[in-house]
Amino acid sequence: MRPVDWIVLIGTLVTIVSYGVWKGRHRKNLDGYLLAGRQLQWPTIALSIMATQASAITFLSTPGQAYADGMRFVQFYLGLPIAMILLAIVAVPIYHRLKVYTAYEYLETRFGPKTRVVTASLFLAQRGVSTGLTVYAPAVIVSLLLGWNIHVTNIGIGLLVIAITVGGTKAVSRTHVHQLLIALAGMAVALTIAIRSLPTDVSLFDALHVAGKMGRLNVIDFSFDLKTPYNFWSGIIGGTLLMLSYFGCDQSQVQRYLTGETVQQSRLGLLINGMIKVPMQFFILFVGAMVFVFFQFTAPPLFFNSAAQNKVVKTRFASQYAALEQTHAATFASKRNGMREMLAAMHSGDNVRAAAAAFRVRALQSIDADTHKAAAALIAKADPAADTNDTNYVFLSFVIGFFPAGVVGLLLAAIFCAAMSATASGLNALSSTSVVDVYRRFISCDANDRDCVRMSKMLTVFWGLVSIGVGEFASHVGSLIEAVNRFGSFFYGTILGVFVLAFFFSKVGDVAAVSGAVVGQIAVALCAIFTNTAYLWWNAVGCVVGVLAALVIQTFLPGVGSRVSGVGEAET
Amino acid sequence: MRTRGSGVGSRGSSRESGTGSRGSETGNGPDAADLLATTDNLAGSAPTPDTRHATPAEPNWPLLYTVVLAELVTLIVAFYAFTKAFA
Repeated sequence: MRPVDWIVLIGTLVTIVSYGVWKGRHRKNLDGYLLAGRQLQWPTIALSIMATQASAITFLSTPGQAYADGMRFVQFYLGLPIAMILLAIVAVPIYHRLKVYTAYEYLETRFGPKTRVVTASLFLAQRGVSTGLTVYAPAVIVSLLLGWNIHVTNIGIGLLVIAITVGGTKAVSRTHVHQLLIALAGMAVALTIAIRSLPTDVSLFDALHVAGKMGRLNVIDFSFDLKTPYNFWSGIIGGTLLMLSYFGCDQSQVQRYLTGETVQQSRLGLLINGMIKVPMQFFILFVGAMVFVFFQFTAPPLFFNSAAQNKVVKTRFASQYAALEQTHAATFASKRNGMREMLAAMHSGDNVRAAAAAFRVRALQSIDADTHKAAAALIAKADPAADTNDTNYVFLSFVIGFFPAGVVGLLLAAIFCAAMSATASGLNALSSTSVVDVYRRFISCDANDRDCVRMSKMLTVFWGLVSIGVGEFASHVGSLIEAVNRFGSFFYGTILGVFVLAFFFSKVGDVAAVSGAVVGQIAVALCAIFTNTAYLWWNAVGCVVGVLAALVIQTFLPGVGSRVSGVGEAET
Repeated sequence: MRTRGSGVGSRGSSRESGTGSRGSETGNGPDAADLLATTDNLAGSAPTPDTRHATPAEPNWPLLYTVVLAELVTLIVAFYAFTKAFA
């Protein structure tokens, strides 16, 4: 890091945090503190929703995912617009009408306290760990590649987020806008530099052909396969259910659109998110695809986690690793020649020669992939604690190695902003749920607004420290974005099932809903442990099994009346 | 708490989701703001700042939902074409 990078990084972070602290002052009542006084307009809501979902993992890991696996990950988001529409129709009017602070508060008015406690607890457990990962993810990558102390980095990010989040939801939502814009600007700069850094005789059109021939532009795959993690069907079906659960039942998102001044503002915020998110993810993945093309003409390291690589060369495996590096260098040289031959054939219109060259290049790519696997195995032998998945290190290695002074600082600021935005929403929601669904409901039922706001601030600090603690213990999580989504998918289907029962099945009561949730969660666990079903389908399993189990159980229980309306029902 | 429909699939949704928070909190009768806006339209004069704020146009929700879905379909088709074009 050069001095100008430090100036850009520190300047950006100080500005953002100061702005957040300033925006968060003078919040004395609970409505103002937890829901920004329910005064926000749709542009802020939409950007806040997007900033919450787009964590540092999104900006670090997603380009790496495209580098290693192509752009098919975009299919994960295909269900998002559908989910936004369904939530705008079903959930938003109900939440607004009941003026709830949390999604789980609604479940008590609909079922009873048991369901509220179970779902709030599931949320606190799941979000507590996930928020820790969103702090840890950038900390570990940045510290390893820049040689910073991991503990200092992790604690530093955590404390910055706590400083913003203690200011309440308005501070969080307002800073989200700036954080997301900085993060997206950083990615736009990265894409520009990646394309401009290609050899002068390789045009953007050539780059697209290289990426496509190497399987990195595999955006849509219509084949139906339950074991493939990302295809059209898993995205549309599993993705819709995951997004319904994430945006409809996860307080970190529900809290964003509960801040809307009216139902109209909240709905518009969700719908705009539904329109922008898929192209935005495509754009981030495309950056990764272009980084892949860049490394077809500029030699990439054998292993992108340079810290792990530096360790292995100091062990008895050094000579074996050096041999692998030689193989990698030779394969790269042959592959680059093959690429040039393929492009020359394409330019001259010789499709047969181009296809033959593409076939050879793919064979060389396969050899290089085997060399990479062997290197990862050696690194694991040399240091069993080392992270042998270097997908998360690809993008930042590219930034640090090839970006000009000042731009590295901007990209790091973008990554830190993304980390802060997602973590702030997580802490904000954890604090709200703890206060509204636990403290004010079971511990101090007569607490006034001032007590609740004070407790919210204390719990924000508490959950911030928990997140830092999770980050301190986290390791071996592979592709971080996949790890977070897999972890979420484990619980989200079950939670969604409870909300589906609440919205659409007025005859189901508290006991049946909780029992159904338990059965649904067991079904997901069995599915995850004993089958190879891709994780997006766990959402469908948890939701469908949970709902069906609750309906069956309800038939054996005394009839119940709906306490509060679901969809299209009169209130009682 | 209000006693109108949930705003889902009911005719009450537009009123509730739109300007209800300002104009119709206290009863089911016509809003004062609505009446003012009507008067303005009849008179052909520009609305005052107050009435402009109180009666924002209610979006055509079915149309907006269709636009979001149409964009998704367009993106899927474009992505598929993109995949095939460079494979």
